[in-house]
Amino acid sequence: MSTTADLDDAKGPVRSFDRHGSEYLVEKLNAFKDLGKSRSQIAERYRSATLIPNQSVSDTDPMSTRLHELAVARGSGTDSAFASAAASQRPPTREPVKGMRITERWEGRVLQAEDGFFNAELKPLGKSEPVVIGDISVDKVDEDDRELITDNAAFYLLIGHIPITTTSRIPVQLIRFSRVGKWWPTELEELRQRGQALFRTIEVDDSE
Amino acid sequence: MTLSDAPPFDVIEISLFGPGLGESLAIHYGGGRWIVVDSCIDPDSGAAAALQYFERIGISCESAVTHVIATHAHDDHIGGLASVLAACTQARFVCPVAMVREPFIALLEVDSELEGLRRSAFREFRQIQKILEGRKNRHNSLGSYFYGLEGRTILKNAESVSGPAVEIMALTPSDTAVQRSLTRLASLYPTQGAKKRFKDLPNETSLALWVEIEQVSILLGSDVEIGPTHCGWKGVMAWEGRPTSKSEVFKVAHHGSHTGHHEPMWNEMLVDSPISILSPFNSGRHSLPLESDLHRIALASSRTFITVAPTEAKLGGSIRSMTSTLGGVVENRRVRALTLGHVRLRKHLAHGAAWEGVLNDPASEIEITRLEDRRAKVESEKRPSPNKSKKRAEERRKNQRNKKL
Repeated sequence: MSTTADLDDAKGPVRSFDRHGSEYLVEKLNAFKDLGKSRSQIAERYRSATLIPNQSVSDTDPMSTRLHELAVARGSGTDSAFASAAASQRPPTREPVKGMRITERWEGRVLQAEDGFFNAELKPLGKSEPVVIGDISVDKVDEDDRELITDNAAFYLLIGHIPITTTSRIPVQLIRFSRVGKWWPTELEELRQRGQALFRTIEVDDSE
Repeated sequence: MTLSDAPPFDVIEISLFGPGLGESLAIHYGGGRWIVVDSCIDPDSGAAAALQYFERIGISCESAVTHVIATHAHDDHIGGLASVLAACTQARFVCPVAMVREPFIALLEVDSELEGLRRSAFREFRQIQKILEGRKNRHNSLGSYFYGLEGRTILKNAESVSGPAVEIMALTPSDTAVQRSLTRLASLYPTQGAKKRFKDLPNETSLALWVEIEQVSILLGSDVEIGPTHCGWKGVMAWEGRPTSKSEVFKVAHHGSHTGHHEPMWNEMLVDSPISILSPFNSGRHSLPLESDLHRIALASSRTFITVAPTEAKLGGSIRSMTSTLGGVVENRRVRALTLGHVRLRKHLAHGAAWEGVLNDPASEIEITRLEDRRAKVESEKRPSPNKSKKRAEERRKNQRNKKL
C-alpha cells in the first residue's frame, strides 16, 4: 500500500478530507441538541463539551464566525442550517471547511470487516512503521463510505484539529475510504489483450 | 546472536526466516548448493531475508542457489522474491502450475490497474516475469518457468563428487486442485461494472515439497490445507505414488493452523515425533498459530521451533506515544512484530548424526510445560476471585431491588 504511486496521490484524499470537515463539525454540533437556540447558546454548550476548559467563547469570536461560515457555505442562516442537518441526521452537502490543520496522516487497509467494526492495519503515510493493528468502529466512518468497508479496502485516517481561537481548537479525526472505480468494457478488453500478449511471451519448461 | 558461519559441504541446513508476517526457507542440500523456498523481507533492513543471510555467511548466491521456488502467490510468501531471483542468476524459477496458466497471467494485468490496492504478490510476479524474459536464451532454460504439480520432480541429482544425492518432488497441487484453482482464478477476473478490487487467491494452488538428501527426508508444507477431497493433504494421502520415506523435519503447513493439520499425513509421512518448524501469521483479528495449535504441534513433535511468537507485540513506550493520537479511533491497538526471527537446523550427513537447532532472536522453542503453565495462569486470571464474586452478587441484588422499586 505504501507505493510511490500512493505517495504521489497523497494530496488527493487530503483535499477530500477537507471537504468532509464540515460534516464532522456539524455532526458534532447536532449531538448537542441545541437546535433553535441562539449561536451564543450553541457556542456555550459547544465550548463546555469539546473545547479546552476555561476558554471563553462569544458571539463575536472566531468560533461563531466559523459556524456562520459553514452556514453561509450551505446557503442558509446558521440555525436553519443546523436544523436542516438535524432533519436528515447528517449534513446534506459537503462544503469545504477552511482551516482544518492536519497533523498526522495514516494509511490503512481493512484486514477483516466484521459486524459493527473492522480490523485494520495502519501505518504513517509514507513510512513503513510502526504498523499498528486495531479495531475501528463503523460509526467512525462517514455513512457514504460504509459500503466501502470490505476486506483489503484501503483508507486514509487524518488527524488534526480545527482552530477556534488562538488557544482553543476542536480535535478532528477523519476516515476516508479510497473510492474504487468500476471496470469499463473498454478497460477490460484492453486488459484481456494485454493478458493474452503476456501469456504468449511466457516460456514454460514442460520437460520431465 | 547472529548466525554467520556457512555450513560445510557435507552438512545439510534448513533455515527458516519469519518476521511475524511472511516466511522464507533457505536449504543447503550439500556440496555448497542451495534452494530458496518463498521469500520475506527483513523489516529492519528492507532486504530479502534469504539474500541477507547468504551475504552474512559468505555465500555467493549467483552460483550457489540452484532453484528459487514460489510455493504460492500470497503476499506473506512472496515478499522480495523477485530480488532473490534477480540475485540468483543461475537459479531456475519454480512455481505452482496454476501460476503459468492464462487465468493467473490475466490477473497480473488486472492487478497492475488497481492503484493503491495492488497486491505485492502480483507485483513480485510481474517483476519475476521481466527477469525471466531477460534471461531467455537458446542455451539453457533459465528464462522459463518450471512448474510444480503433484508427483513432478523439481530436482534430482545422483551422488557425485560435487555433492550428495538429492531429490525434490512436488506433492501438491493435485489435478483436482489445479482445476479448482484455475476455476477460482478465472472467477476472480473482473466483469463489466464490477468494483475494482481483488479477493484473495486460494491456498489450493500451494506447492508442498518433499526433499530427500541422501537418506534424510524433509517435508515442506507451504500453506497446504487438509482438503477438500482429492486436494491438499487429502489429495496427497490419496496419491499412491507419494514418497514412502518418512520425514524427520516438517515445515508445518499453513502457519500451524488446524485447517492445515491432517492427522493421517502426520502418521504416514512423518517419523514419530519429528522436528517441527513454523512461522506465524500475525495479521487480522486472529493470529496463527493459536495456543491450541502450538500445543497440538508440540505434543506431536520432539522439538518445535517458531520464528516469532504468534501474537502481536503490545505497544511499547515509544510506539505508544507515536500512536497515541490514534486512541480516539483505533481500539485494541497492537503493533506487528518487527524483528526477523531465524530458526536454523543442521545435520551432518554422516550416519547417525543428530539435528542441531540454533535460534536467532526472536525465534524460540515451544515447550509443552511452558504452554501448560501459561494456560493455567490465564485460566486462573479468568476465574473471578471470591471477593469479586461477592461484590458482583451484591450488585446484582441491589439492581434487582432497584428494579422492584
